[in-house]
Amino acid sequence: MWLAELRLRDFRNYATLDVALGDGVTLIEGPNAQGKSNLLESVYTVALGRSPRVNADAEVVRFGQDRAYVRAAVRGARPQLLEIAIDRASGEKRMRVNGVAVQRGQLLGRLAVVLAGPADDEVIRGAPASRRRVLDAALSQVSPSYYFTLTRYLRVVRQRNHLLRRAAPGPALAPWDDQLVELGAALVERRRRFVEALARPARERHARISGGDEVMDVAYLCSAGEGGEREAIGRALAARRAEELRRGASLVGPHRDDLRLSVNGADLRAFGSRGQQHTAALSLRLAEAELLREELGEWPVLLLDDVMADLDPSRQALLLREIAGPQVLLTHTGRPAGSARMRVLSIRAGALLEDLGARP
Amino acid sequence: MPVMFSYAPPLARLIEELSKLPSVGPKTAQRLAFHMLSMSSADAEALAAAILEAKSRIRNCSVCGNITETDPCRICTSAERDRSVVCVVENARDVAAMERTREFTGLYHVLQGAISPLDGIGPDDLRIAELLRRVAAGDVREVIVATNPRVEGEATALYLSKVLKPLGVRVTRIAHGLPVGGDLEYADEVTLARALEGRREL
Repeated sequence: MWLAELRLRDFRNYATLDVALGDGVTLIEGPNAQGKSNLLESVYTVALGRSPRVNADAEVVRFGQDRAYVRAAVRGARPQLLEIAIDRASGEKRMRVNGVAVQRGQLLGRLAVVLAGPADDEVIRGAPASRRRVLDAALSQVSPSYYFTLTRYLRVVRQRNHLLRRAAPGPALAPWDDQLVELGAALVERRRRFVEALARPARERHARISGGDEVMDVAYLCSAGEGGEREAIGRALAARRAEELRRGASLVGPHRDDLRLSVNGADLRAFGSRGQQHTAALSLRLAEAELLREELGEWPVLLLDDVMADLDPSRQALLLREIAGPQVLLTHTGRPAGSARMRVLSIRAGALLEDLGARP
Repeated sequence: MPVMFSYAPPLARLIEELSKLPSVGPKTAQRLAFHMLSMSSADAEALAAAILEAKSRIRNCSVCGNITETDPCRICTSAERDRSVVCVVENARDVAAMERTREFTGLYHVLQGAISPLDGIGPDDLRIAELLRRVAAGDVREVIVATNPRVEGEATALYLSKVLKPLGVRVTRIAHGLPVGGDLEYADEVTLARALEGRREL
């Protein structure tokens, strides 16, 4: 699938923007702080019903305005029109598909996107939550029932934590334990399959981009330990009941799991140069796109935010070969090697200087 | 809402009372209040009387907890209802929904809510003790748990099954499936997945 038209109203530094896009690679070019990343953020926001930056939904409204609006015309197997309006004062979000109001769960997957960029530093080095978010965002786009199970699961955890903080007895906890096990096992099982499928393309991509001699690995770390998901979570809950009551929090289940990213066996969270971490994050995102394509039967849109900056010209050319296939929106401060035949959008202060076609 | 203070006190008070109603904001409250002022005295009195009468004559049935004018309610005292089956629901609106199906001929039990620790609602705040007494009294063979499919309704169902089963009664849960009249291809994936879980033998 691909994004054919994008309309912004009062989104970040854009007062109005209307742009038609092609289904290949589009270079979004301009000096720093002109709004290149904001453009990618708007695409992510209309596709997933929230900003990729955590808790930033109300911040996307342009300074001094009440409401931000994004509209995306999607082409592909299921052409459709997606809209989102975000109110600054209330933080309220209204989403529509083909003019019909929908919940977030009904929006997901209609415009599948994969975003790679500076925020991935957090995925590599940050807390487990940022790595879980990679899995949850990808799987929610692939499977509405994953998203549904996830929202139910997180509600169960909140209800259960409330009881744990009040040192509730076993019978009061039991209905929440049961649901935590049931919903949690379904999430872990789905995430595990996804991560297993992710490992090979991530390794291959990484080998090509890094030039060969390093081996990347991706593994799912389950807080409940190994074994059948349901049994493992049930056992771990029983074993850690006293600790859970003491700390007033649910300590077992997919909301405590993690993703281990390593190169040559060394955990990237602790080891690895910035360059290695950068390459690993990019490989992970490209593998994610490949997997979404397998699951959805169509390429997702690749949003590559400033990923060329740290690469030398030969690596830049390598990366451009690596992203052939899906629609790609690529931001960069200049024109990287191999970009001669790309469609170029030049952005200056939240406006478009359209520059069509090839430069000889 | 400074605009309200400019109205004469009786009108301001009416607007204030109306704006306490669910899904009525200040603007709607003003519109309703002005509409009421334009009504004939007879209509205004009929509205006021209807509110007071409903409030004084409608109460909860002491057996099932449903809203009723007579206690016990018409369903609980009906000779036509199957007294061996009790359908447990969260609130009186759910009884009305079940009754509209005309398919269920048993009795009801209204819990008046669902377990939700975040809202401070535990099993003791619901009419569960009354349900256990009804079941222990003997006639009931099956309890159908028709709480909502949200996690709170599910927790309530799980809790009920634990406390009811020792009493030797059959406990069932309604299936959550597809809306009839909707084509399979238009059903959202979640509904379809739930319907698949609740499938039955043909």
